[in-house]
Order: sequence, then structure tokens, then C-alpha cells
Amino acid sequence: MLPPKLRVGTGLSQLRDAFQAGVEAAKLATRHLENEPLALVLVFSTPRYDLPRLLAGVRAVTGNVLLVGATGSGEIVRGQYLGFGGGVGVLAMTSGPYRFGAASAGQIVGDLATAGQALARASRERAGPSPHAAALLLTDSMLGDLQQFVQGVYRVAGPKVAIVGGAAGDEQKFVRSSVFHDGAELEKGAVVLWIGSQLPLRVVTRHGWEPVGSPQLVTRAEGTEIIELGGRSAAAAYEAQLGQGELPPERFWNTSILHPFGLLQNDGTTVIRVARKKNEHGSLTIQGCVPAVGSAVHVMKGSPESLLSVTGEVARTALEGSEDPAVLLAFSCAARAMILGERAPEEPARLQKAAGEVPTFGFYCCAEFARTSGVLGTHNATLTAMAL
Amino acid sequence: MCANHPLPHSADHSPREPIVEEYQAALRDTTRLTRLFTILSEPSSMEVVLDRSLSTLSEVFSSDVVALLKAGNAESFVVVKAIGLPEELLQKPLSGSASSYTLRVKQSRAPVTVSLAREDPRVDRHLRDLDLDCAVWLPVLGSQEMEGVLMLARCRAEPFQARDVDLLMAMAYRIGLVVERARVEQERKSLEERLLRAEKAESLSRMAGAIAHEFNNIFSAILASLDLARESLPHGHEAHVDLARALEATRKAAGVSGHMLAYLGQGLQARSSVDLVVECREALAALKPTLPARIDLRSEFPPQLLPVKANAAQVRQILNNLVTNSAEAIETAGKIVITLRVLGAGEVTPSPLLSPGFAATADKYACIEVADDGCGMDRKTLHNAFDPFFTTKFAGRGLGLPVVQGTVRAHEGAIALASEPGLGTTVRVFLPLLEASAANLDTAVASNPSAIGHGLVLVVDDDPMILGTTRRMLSRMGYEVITADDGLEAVELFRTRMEGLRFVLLDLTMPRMDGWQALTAMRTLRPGVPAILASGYDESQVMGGDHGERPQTFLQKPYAWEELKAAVTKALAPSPIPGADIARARPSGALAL
Repeated sequence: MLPPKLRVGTGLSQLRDAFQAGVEAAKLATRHLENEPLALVLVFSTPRYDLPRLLAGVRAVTGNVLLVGATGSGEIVRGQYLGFGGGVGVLAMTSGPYRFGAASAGQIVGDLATAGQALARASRERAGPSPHAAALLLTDSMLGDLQQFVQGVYRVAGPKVAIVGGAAGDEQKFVRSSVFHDGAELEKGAVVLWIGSQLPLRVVTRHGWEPVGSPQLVTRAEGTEIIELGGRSAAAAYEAQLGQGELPPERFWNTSILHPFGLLQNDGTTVIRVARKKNEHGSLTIQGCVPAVGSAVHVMKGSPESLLSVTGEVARTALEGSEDPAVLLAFSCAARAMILGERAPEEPARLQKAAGEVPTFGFYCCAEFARTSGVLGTHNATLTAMAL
Repeated sequence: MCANHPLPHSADHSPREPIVEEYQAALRDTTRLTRLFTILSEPSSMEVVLDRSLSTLSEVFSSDVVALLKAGNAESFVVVKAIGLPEELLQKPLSGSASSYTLRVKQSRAPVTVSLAREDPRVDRHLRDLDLDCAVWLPVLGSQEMEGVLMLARCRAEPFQARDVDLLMAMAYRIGLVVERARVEQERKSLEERLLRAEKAESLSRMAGAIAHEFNNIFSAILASLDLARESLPHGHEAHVDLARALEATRKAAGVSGHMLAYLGQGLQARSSVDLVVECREALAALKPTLPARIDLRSEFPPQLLPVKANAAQVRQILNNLVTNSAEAIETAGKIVITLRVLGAGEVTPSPLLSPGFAATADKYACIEVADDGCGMDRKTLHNAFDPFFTTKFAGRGLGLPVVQGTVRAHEGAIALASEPGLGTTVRVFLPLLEASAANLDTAVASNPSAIGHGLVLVVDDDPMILGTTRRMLSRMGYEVITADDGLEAVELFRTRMEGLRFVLLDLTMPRMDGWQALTAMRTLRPGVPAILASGYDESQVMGGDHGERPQTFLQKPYAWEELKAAVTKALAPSPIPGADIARARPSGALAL
């Protein structure tokens, strides 16, 4: 007997009223699923809404179906890009061949690895056993070293579980971002959605950045800061590589978003790390996960074209990993949207074009989660995707 | 298939020139080494260092699983630390069948790389279930021994290159050094803790001994005073009953104090060659009438002598305590069998908990076995049975077995205990047997017909209570008593009165000049003057060591009338031999005063 087919619906709203926006988006998402029991609802939204009311609006339509989501810097709904302050996107789905379980926590402080382990364990238990699985992670982007959270999840999950997801954002203000679990909005929180599957689930990542100049060694790092590169102040070494002179701290972000670091990998590829801030003593605060001492990093460069060039392949490769894909989940980066500027809508559009009839759904994050090999699973300025 | 998909061709993988590839490889190796060495040099706990090291190896070698394994029981291995192993596998031992790669690496100390690990039967089943493709096993060597096996594995078809394996061997060695260092440090800490505990125990033991000694002095004065009071009352006076009770209570209290010293091994009384068969027979003869009729007491003694160097009273006390314990364990009817036998040193099998660190000091041992069919002990009771003041009896004091343990230990013996609920208990006490030539059994104590009770005697003690009561007792005996309260004063007094002195009774511990010094000074003035040395410390401690002059006898505090009389008798016995093995005089019968 064939497993039931996964059926999905998407909806978006740009209404000003949070409750009404939730209702509208949810109704659109569920309009073709009336006769099917829903199993999961994903909600990605601008942080500008009254979020509890937004969720109430969604659940007024979907009922008490499992709901997870996050605030971001723009939503992706069937190839459409809702920019900053754009609105809300809702994805409703039946269970199909999957089993879902979720666990969350708010006000997480301290040991992120332990938090990751606990949430992975709890969500797996709620989903029930399955030969394969994926863990979809949504976290507050300002929790700290998010790689620790991923490692905690990996300790529970192991190599047969795909890890994908994104860190919630607040449209690059870095003040307050939220994740959602059922009707609750969680600050400084994280939610893990366990997706039990009979078949392996594939995660794909690409970024489109290219290295500039010679790599440098991280010689000192603490917490979320790179303090030294090649024995010199990190900021000085970075600026020297760029050749643009000293960057004033208040304008640093405008440059660093165009020139992230690329952490050299075993196979010659790079994992992207964005320096969010230049500090008084010359260190650089890295968004999400700081490269360890001894790592070699390149300063990278990119263009709208180089960033957009990877979208088609990401979509195609992700879809190839699923026998009968019903939806393509995509997690891109707010930094990419800023670089793409007016061409930002092209990225989700190209994704959708490559996906064909399979709807795309996702959001622009402040860090992306995708474990491709080894234990590393956090990225910046990267496009990740997984098909269900 | 694993969950991840390497992208075969893309703009990020543009073809590179060989020299650039080489440069990239050199840079990659440098960063790998730098990252690992940075972590290994951090002053963090081994737990943290290993965790971060394995995470780093996972990242820099793109390995989905990294595990440090340690040899467990038989040929299995346990996971010390791992990245990528689902947590339910962490507690499971990995089987190391004879053909397994883990075992092979452990034995050969050489790395092994494999492809298609998921289909290879030499890969542990739990690892195969993870759909691993390529894997490498490496020996983790310390400076002296093998510390474990390091395993890295990938879920994709990307074999570990020879260059990677070489680098991993170098890294595994350094991880091994860290593990070895942590293990040695842990062992050192453990030893330090044991030493500290032993020192604390010794300190407590010294304190307990000092307290018991102090109490002994006090009890000595109380006993002597009660004795004197009783002697001074007319026969039939109603106060005799109260005084008798007070004496008994004081003796009991002194007994507790003495038991504490015995448990600590400090209560060793004078030892001599005694025949265990005789002592046990006498002890049983005294015990049997006190046992309830429901107890069937039997003994199996060999026909030959069993000479041991022991204190006879303490040997009887051992048997007394064990038999009493057995009797109390028999609720309705039962039997107690006491067996004596000879065993070779190799046949002595003490309980490690009761006789830790026991090492045989003789070729043969006498074994006193007391076996009952009483209620037996459960595991918890068994574990605590020899703890001081532990008792399962409502009226019990909990000192019987600890005293046995302390006494046996002081006699360089050992104990074994076996018990099962409902089946009874067997206790075996092992005491070193004397060789036949050395056994010069002290089976009789000659009573000294010499007249005592007249003449001048000198008593020296810095404790005014003891000085007073001893003077009164000796006066009652008929002596004229002069006293001093320290050694220096005593020597001065001796100088002027030595010709008429019958004997001197010296306390050991005194200010200005102790008992040994005073005795030496007095014997210089009058060689061979009979002397009694008294102390609350145990005889072996006091009389051990090299002393030029030795007393005729040792008097253990606290002492009452009978003990003092016996010591005086001994001191005045003809031809006392200085330096001979001093046997404690038993109280004689009629005393000629």
C-alpha cells in the first residue's frame, strides 16, 4: 500500500491588522485542504505585527494543529517575496508520509548545546520513531553561538537526520526576534520540528560567494568575536584585505554584508560567516557562529548575479532528493536580500521557476541551518533548501 | 543514504591548478593541526577537551561520525566520546569480534581505512545501521600504552586519503597524550584522596585513643576510689549495693573505652605464647553456662597445640564476642560450631573489606571458625556488621565485632565473614601460628610467695587523683607510701630515701622528666631497684623501643585493686630479668600481706 501523499497549501497576507492578516493567510493556505486533516502549519512573518494576535488569527482558521514559525526579514511564498514589513506567509500541510513532533523553549540562556539536545529529544519523542527524519530548527538569532545549538541537536539526531532551518530575525535591527510554537510567541527561544520519514530527506546549501585574496588564520577568538586574524587586530586585517581603508563602526555593516568571511572546508568549499559589527577594540562580532582559532578564512565577494546563479541548482538538487515532492522549503539570508537590493524578488522567483509546480515556501533568516557534512551546520548569507 | 548531498559540480568547485591544490592542501593541514593543538593545549577538563577535539575533527575532516573508543570487557569497546553517534548508541558497548577493525587496530597499532562500511561485517552492526560509507580507525597511543581507538566515518563516498590518515595519526597520538595525562592525574588525585582519608582516619584514631586514654585515667581514679570506699565500709552496710553497682558501671564504661582502643588497635595488652586450644576451651567452658538452652554449642579442636603470640584475655574475648553474636542470631533453636584448624599461609582467605591490605607474615595460621545456623545477615547488614556502634539488636552496643576486628588486626591476623539470610553466618579468624621452637607457652603464672605489704614505696604520677588513690590502695596493702608528682622531684626524693625503698611505681607521661628518664636516673643511683611503669597507652607502644633500663612489670591504666596487687607481686618476684618478654601477671589467690 502506498503511503498517503503529502498535500500542502500556501497563503499570504499583507493586511495591516494582525488578526485579520493571520486569518486571511490561513484561509488561503487551507482553501484546497478542507476535506483533509491538517498535520502542520508553518508561519513566517514580519516582526512588525502584534504576533500573539497574528497567531490567534491563524489558529482561528486552522484550529489547534501543530504550528511552528518565526519572524524574519521577508517571506517566500510560491516564488513571491514579501520584503521588510511585507506581511505573513502560511503553509498548511497534511501529514502525508511524515510524522511531526515539535518542542520549544523560550528565554534560553547559557548552554545552547544542552538546549538543542533537550528540544531534539522531546520533539523526536512526540513525532514517534521512523527510519529517517529531518530536524527543522528555528531559533532566535541573538541566542549566541548557534553552532552549539546545532551540535546539541546532532548529538541526539545523528547522521541519518537532516538538519535544516533558520534563525529568526527582525529585519536587521537586531533588537528582538521571535519564534512560534502553537499559539505562543517565544522570545530568546528555539523550536525544533521533528519530521519523521520513511525515506531520507536531503538538505542542499549554496551561496555564490567567491574568495578575495589570500586566506588568513584566525589566531584569537572568544565568544562570538574574532579578535585577531594572522596575529593582527581582526578589523585591521579585514580592512587591509579589502583595501578600502578604515571603516567607521557605524557604517561597517554596509560593507561587511557585501564581504563576508568564507571558512575554508575540507573539500575546498567555504562556509559563509558574516561580521555584523566592528567593535571598539578592533574585534569583529560574527553573526551566528564564530570560526574557531586555527581556522582559515577568506574575505569573500559577491554580486547579485553570483548570488542568484545558485538558486536554480539548489531547487533542482533539493527536489531530486524527494520521490514525490509536495513543497520546497527554502531558507535564505537577509544579507542576500540586502545585497540583491531591488533584485531581491528574483531569488524566490527563480527558485519557484526551477521548482515548477511544486510550491516554494520559506523566509529570509539571520543565519541558516543546514548540516552537509561533519558537525558544522550554521551558515550566513547562504541559500538552503529541503523538499518534502 | 545519509541525509546530506555533496554538490558534484558548481561554480564553487571550479577546476584549480595543481600548485593551487597543493597550496590549499597545505593550508588545510596547517589549519587542522592548529585548531586541534589549540584545543589540546587549553587548560580545560579532559571532558571538554575531548568534546571539542572530536567536534573539530568532525569539522576539519568532514566526518559525520567521530568516536573515541576504549577497550571494555572481553573484546568489546565502550564509547568514551563521540560526535554523530545517536545518543542511544553511546551506552552500548561495541562488539569487538576477532575480525573487527577496532580490535585489529588495537592489536596491530596501525590504522585501517575502509569503504562501503555499511556492508562490511567487520564494522560494528550499530555503526553499519548508520549507513556509513567510508571510515578510518586509528590507534590512540599514549607515551606508554594504548589509550583507545579513534574512528572517523563519512556517510558519502569520499574515502580518507593517505595524507589525511597520516595527519590523523599525528593527531590521535596527541589526543592519546592528553588522555594519558588526564588518567595519570586522576590516579594521582585518587591516591592523594586515599592518603588524606588515611591521614584523617589516623588523626581521628589518635584523637579517639587520646580520649580513651584520658577516660582510662579518670576511670582508674573512680575505680580505685570506689574500691577504697567499699573496703572502708563495714560488712553488710547498705551502701555496698550502691557501690557495687557504681563499680560495675565504671568497669563497663572502662570497658567501652578499652573496646574503642581495641578497635583502633591500640588496646593491645601484653602478648605471650599461648595455646589457642587451651584458651578457646577455657573460654567456651565459661561461655556455655551463659547461653540459652536452645543453643547447641559444639567444638572441634585438634589434638595438637596451636601456639600463637597473643594476649590470652583478648583471645578469649574474640571467641566470647563471636559466640555471643551467633547466639543472638539464633531465635528459636540452633547450633554453633567452633572449629580450630591449621592452615598454610596460602589458604588464608580474608574478606578484603574486613582485612584490607592483609599480607601473611607467617607460614602457617591458626583458624578459629565460628559457624551458626542463625538468621544470617542481608547484604546491608553484612556491609556494616563491623562498623563501630552498628547493631541490629535493640539492646546492643555494636562494639563486639569491631573489637574482634581491631584485636585481630593488632595480632597481625585476618578475618573472613560469610553470611546468608536464613542460612546462618560463619566467621573465620586467622592468627599467625608460632613455630614450635618459639612456642614457650606461658601456661602458668607463679604466684609469688614473697611478702608484700610492708616497707617504703615511692609512687610518682602527675595526676593528683591517681596519685591519691594509688597511695591509699598501697597503704591499705600495708606499705608506707611517699609520692612525687613529676620525674625530677621523684629522682630527688629517691636520692634521699632509696635505701629503704621496696619498689617504685612510675607513671610514664610526666612533665619535666618522664617515667623512662626517671627510671634510668634511679637505677643509676640504685641498680636493679624494682620498678613498675604505669600508663594509659597500650603496652606494646610503651614497652617497645630501645630503653636502657626496663621495669619489672607494666601496669595498664585504669587499674583497680586487683591489678595493682598483681603488678606489685610481679615487681617483687625474685630475679626479675630486665628486657625479658613481659607477661602480664594474673591476680593470684590469697595475698600475703
